[in-house]
Amino acid sequence: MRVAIIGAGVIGLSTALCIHEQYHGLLPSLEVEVYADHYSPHTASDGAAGLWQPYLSDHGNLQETVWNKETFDYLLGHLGSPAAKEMGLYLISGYNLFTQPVPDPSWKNIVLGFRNLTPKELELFPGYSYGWFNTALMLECRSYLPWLTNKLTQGGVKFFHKKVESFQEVSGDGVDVVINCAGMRAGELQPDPELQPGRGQVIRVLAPWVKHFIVTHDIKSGIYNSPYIIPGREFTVLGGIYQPGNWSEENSAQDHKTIWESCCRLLPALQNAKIVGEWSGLRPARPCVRLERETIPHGHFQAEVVIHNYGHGGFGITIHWGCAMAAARLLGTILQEKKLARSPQPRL
Amino acid sequence: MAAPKVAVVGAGVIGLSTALCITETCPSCSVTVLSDQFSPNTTSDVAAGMLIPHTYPGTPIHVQKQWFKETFTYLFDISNSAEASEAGIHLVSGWQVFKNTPKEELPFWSDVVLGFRPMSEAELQKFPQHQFGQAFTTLKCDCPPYLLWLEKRLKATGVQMYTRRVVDLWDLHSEYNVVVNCSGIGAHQLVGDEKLFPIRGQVLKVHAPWVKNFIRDGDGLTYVYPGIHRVTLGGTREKDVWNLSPDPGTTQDIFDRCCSLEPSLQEAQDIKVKVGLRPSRQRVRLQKEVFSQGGLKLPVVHNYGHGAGGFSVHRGTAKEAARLVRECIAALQGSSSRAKL
Repeated sequence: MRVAIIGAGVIGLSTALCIHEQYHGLLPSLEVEVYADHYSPHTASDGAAGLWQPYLSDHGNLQETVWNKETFDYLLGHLGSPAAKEMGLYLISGYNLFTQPVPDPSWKNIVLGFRNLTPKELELFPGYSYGWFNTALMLECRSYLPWLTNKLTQGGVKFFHKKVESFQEVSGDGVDVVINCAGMRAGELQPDPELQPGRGQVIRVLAPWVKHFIVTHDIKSGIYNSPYIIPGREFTVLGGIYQPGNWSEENSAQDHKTIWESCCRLLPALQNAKIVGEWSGLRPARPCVRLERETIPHGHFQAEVVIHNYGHGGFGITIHWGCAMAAARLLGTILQEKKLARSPQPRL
Repeated sequence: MAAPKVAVVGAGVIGLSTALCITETCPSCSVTVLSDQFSPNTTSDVAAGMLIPHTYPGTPIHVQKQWFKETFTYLFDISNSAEASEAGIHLVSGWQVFKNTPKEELPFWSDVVLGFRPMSEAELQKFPQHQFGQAFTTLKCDCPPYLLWLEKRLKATGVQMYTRRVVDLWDLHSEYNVVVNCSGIGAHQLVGDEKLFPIRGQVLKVHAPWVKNFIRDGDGLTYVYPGIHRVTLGGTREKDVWNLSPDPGTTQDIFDRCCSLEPSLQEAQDIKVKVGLRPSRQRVRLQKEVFSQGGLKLPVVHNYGHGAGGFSVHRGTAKEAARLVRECIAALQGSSSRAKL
């Protein structure tokens, strides 16, 4: 039984690991393979600061809220383990800022210590009159993806460095189930007009005195189009760009200016921070995550079985483990079906 | 008196902040800082510089609260400004956890720090050995940056600083009109204060940049305080111990205790060990005294004995000391004009 995962970002690798952990004991013949043209540190996941935080509203998509919670709880459980440092996992507290009162988010009881900001705290952020404080998690993909890769390699999972052009390319080669974790380029494997880039750009600076994340919100401009400051282990990420429909992965001087000026207004001491990098990437945005199985027929006798797991926008890290488990469950159903198909019918 | 000459003895956080307050309240004064040690070799440099007050048994609570509030407000404004990183002042959030629920659930400073509230059940789960906790956001003064920033501001106003070991305050009477005694633990010898005693503290300063929150055990003995570049792990409170040499057994013990609060510290790198002697006293000695010998007088303002709470109250006590200096100068000017009559 061969399962091929297309994509080696946070979604692809975590799906591979979840599948490996759940089934390699039950099904010794299971072979898990990963196909990708980009590996860490060249994936979109690597560009993300790594803050666990869903969007402000789940738009009634309770399924995604559950997956977010499953991810948070899974990561929280790993905090005290020796692997945490290697995973790039740690706690972080911080601020979400608004110019007007907003309803509490779907994730208020998932994170730790969620509360509204006091008037004194709001004095820190002129121009913002409302906000939240909570403790959440950071998961830095520059560490997490190599950690996942190590665990997969130790488990015998094979990695292939190639750009997959079609599902057939892989299934025709004898793979039983294909898992589409191609993120932004899932549309190249199967057109999906709902999948659009949400272009982001970030500036990386040295600002080790910043210990909190600060995410501002401008309800009119939309998510992540307002400055944010997220301190990592080695550098602090300044961002605040979300451009739907923009496919450019080149750094824009205008966006640099926007990010720099708005973040320095938010935290004046940043003016003294040394810039150590800049990066642009495309969030694979979709009205909702595509997480479903599909059987694609080829002619009369063949069909390829695909599990789609893409379209996580700017919350891939936040939701990844819940989705990986859901994908693994879908695979389980498929494996069950295949077993039933092969085994003799009992007692008719 | 054209330009009253004021000597401040001591260049830790108390000496430097007091000198700065004096320049602010008495612009005509000529202020000089004299100390045998400057940053990075002062007691202040060993401390984490967390704004979490120590309670002095001999000082009224409302006074301590006023000192803390003034200090917090002063530093809050700096942390919000472009100078924050140079001054080493930054906000930090975290938890104070208790193995047993304390009798006093609300410390006197709970409404001065930011967002103070009891920890939730979910937050407490991270600390299985602790039953109760408080979450809040406070400020941290990293040293050496803060002391160096104070020195820079002092130099900008024309304050001179000299490395000099003062063995007797009276030695300064011919050069200075007022002496301010911010000698910290040095006051034990300098003015023979038997009520001043060291409480030895050993700390580790480690590289663990993923630690973004502070954790403090309510017993005050074990704490994890993330600074700009290093995390301070503590500590000890050894009364009447004068030994400044790090003790390896203590180092291991501190490390183990901190790792049980924050397991990820097992991966901390580049462990540096430091020792400081908290200049402890029942109450901070913040008062005027007039030294006299052979008909000559030297007004002295004492500002020492801040023990474990120096950073938390430094600006408040510095302002009070500067006020006392003004009183001394006014008295001198009054008596000198009387002398002219």
